Amino acid sequence: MNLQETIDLLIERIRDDILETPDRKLNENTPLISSGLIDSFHLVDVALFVEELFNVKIEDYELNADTFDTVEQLAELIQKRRG
Amino acid sequence: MELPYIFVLIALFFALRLVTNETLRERGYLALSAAFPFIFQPTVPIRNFTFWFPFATIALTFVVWAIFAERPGTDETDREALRFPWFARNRVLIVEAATVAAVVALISLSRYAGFDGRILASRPPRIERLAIPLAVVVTAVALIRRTRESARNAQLSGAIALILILLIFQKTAPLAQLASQFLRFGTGQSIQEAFATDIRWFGFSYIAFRLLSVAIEARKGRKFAGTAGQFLIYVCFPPTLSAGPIDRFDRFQKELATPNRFNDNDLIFAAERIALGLVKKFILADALSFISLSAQNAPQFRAAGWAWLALYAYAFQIYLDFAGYSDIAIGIGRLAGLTIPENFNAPYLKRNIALFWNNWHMTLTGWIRNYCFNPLTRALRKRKAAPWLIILIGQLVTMGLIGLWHGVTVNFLIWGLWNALGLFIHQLYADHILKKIRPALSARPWLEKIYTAAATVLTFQFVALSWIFFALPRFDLALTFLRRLFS
Repeated sequence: MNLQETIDLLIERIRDDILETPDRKLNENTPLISSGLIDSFHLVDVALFVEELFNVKIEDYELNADTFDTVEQLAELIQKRRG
Repeated sequence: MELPYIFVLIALFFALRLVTNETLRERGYLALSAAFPFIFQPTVPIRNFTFWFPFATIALTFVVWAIFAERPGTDETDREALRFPWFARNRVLIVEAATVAAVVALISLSRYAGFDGRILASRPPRIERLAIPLAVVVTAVALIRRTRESARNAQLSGAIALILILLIFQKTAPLAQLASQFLRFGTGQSIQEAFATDIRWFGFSYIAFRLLSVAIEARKGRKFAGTAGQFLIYVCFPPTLSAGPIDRFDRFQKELATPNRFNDNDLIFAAERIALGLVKKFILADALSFISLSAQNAPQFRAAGWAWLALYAYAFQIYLDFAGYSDIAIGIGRLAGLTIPENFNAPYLKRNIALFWNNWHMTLTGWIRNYCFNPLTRALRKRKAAPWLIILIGQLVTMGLIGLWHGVTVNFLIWGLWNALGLFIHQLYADHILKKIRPALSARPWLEKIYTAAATVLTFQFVALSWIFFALPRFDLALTFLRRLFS
């Protein structure tokens, strides 16, 4: 899976399963954490589905805007860990 | 941190900034970071503990570093490193440890220079008394560095447990009194005069959280770069020693290790932030303190109006005081060429309690989220508990802990739980009601504006009421004041 496909899949899952608002405009550069779009409770869900879908571990201390704040940054992190 | 200290720090970091040699400048930061835990430490009535508490801070920092740092030559695969003699492999460590030891020795020697009360708040112990404690720390660090990498996790668990125990003892009055009795027994002082307030270990709440963050992540297998000296600068960076922010070591170390990181805007930025901080803390907050709620004036309010005024004054005083210190720390940090993380971002202008907590004492809430809320939520999520229950447990535990971090008292716990309930109710509201009415609000900008303004006022009101339990030390006092507000 390349970077663009990872981004597309992440956007789809975050929009449908985490935000549960299909009409919300979400792109790869939308700030997710710093804007409060994804709250701390649902952020853990993001980690869980990323681990399940991509088989990549995201540690608890990495769930913050310093590590990733946008879908693109999260996708890059996933790509990097997948090698 | 008192005003003269702030100007001393500004002068010292500005002077060090003029040093062009990177290594030398970092050694200067190291010397200041070793000295200021002693200089800031208030008098402790237990003999010589005005000296031994800061000494313990430095010892603990070196020990934790020895545990998480790479250990060249301890594993079969790393025999290559053993070709060099011990002192060559540990050259940087030796120079840094010698710098710190020299600072500690100088502070002890100030006893003979007639500086009593200026460098250390009370007379330091005689220099020969330092020999055994110094030897113990050096031996501990040397022994840890000789153990195998596989022993690291057990050592980290031990360090985490020790730091937590020290923190709990310091924060819990009966335990602190017990510790004082024990230490007084050791120093041959009267046990009858032991008070919980004797255990005044300067900045330990922040120091402990910095040490814990690295120890917890290292236990999860994370590798950290950084020398012992850099780690000590991180843990005891003087501007952030008394009131945070609580930075992350990986971020801080990267900045410290970046050569030529200074730029032309640093000085303007630093001057602005320090001036802003001084105004917030020493003019606005100190002025508000005359009318703001306190244990002394709480029983005296007869009219509800004055009580509300005192409560609002307290809400702004605590914000301006704390945010002012953070501004000063961030400003002095920039003088040193280091970006210190932001700690407050207009928290009283947020439209809900979750956003308030994302913007109030941000580095503390971030810490609790990383090491408590996230692991707890993840564990409960994997057990397929009901989402509302996970949110409730997660908020109660984390906010309860934030309350207790300020001190193990009933009122701090109530303050934490009050906010936890607010966060829980907000989450349910956001998930079930706000989601449905949001399209209607978005379609009418004027309505959304009114809604946001009302929500901001309501959030501030909720937070302000919680401060009653933060400001007043006893439950009955808080309850009486709360009744007065609505009488």
